[in-house]
Amino acid sequence: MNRSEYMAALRRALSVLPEEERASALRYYEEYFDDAGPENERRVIEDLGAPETVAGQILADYRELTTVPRQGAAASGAPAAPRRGWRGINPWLLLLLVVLAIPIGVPLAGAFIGVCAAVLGVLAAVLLSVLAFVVVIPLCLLAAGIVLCGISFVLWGAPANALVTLGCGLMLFALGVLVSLLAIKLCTLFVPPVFRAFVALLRWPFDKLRSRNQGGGVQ
Amino acid sequence: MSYPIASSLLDGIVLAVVERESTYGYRITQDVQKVLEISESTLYPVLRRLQKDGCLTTYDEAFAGRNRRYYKITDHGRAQLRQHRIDWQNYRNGIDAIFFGG
Repeated sequence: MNRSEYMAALRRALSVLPEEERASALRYYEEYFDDAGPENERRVIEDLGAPETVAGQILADYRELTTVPRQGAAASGAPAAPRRGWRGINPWLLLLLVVLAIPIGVPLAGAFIGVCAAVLGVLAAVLLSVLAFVVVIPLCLLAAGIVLCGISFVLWGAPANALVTLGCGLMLFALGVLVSLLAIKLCTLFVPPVFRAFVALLRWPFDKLRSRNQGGGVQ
Repeated sequence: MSYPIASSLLDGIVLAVVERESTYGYRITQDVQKVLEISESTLYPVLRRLQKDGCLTTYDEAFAGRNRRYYKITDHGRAQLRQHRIDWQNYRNGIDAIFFGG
């Protein structure tokens, strides 16, 4: 290897440095050869050692002074390990966590679903029984009134009995009409809000999840 | 026997050499090699670092039809060199006390 080959190799080995730094180093060694004189060229090349080693010293020192791009490590032989940041969770770790959580998570989820089902069942029962009373009581009153009126026609053999029965039947029928009207009024007043409240109750967990996701996205 | 040379000691040596007279890379290497076993490639990073730290400045002077880069010590470099001399004195006194008895 002669001087020009040596300098070319040094230039290649320093290619990761900024232009100014590389020019400064190359100029120093060009001058070094000049000052040593052509008669010492062979000795200088031997004493300097491999151009890669010389470049390695320069790069190591430059990296101490400044933060140099990590590809500098490639020139000095050490492969730069890819840095895995903690941006996002490693999918394999997540899978492991999920698998480990199954023994605890499945019973918990089962219990949660059971409690939810029980609450919904109780609510549905209350609603249905209220509806039943609202519907059944007026219907019963109306039916009883009609039946008593019908029976009163059979009892005309004893007019007093027939009149009492007819009166009771008409009273019950009238009461049934009133209660029916009351029930219809109550239904128009209360069913839509109760229905809305029921829907809102069902939607609540999903809204909660959605708002949390949106909150996370804002960060 | 040779002892490994700490980079701070090398800094002090180079500053002392340049303080005597402004000089150039090859000469500095030759001067230091008279007393220490260093490779010819050792001093460039040292000179570059001292230059960046403001201990040395460079100037070019024509020589034999080309420009030669000279190194010159700065006031900051002189202050650093004073500290190096004090540190070395203390270090040497400690070693001497052990080697030769205090």
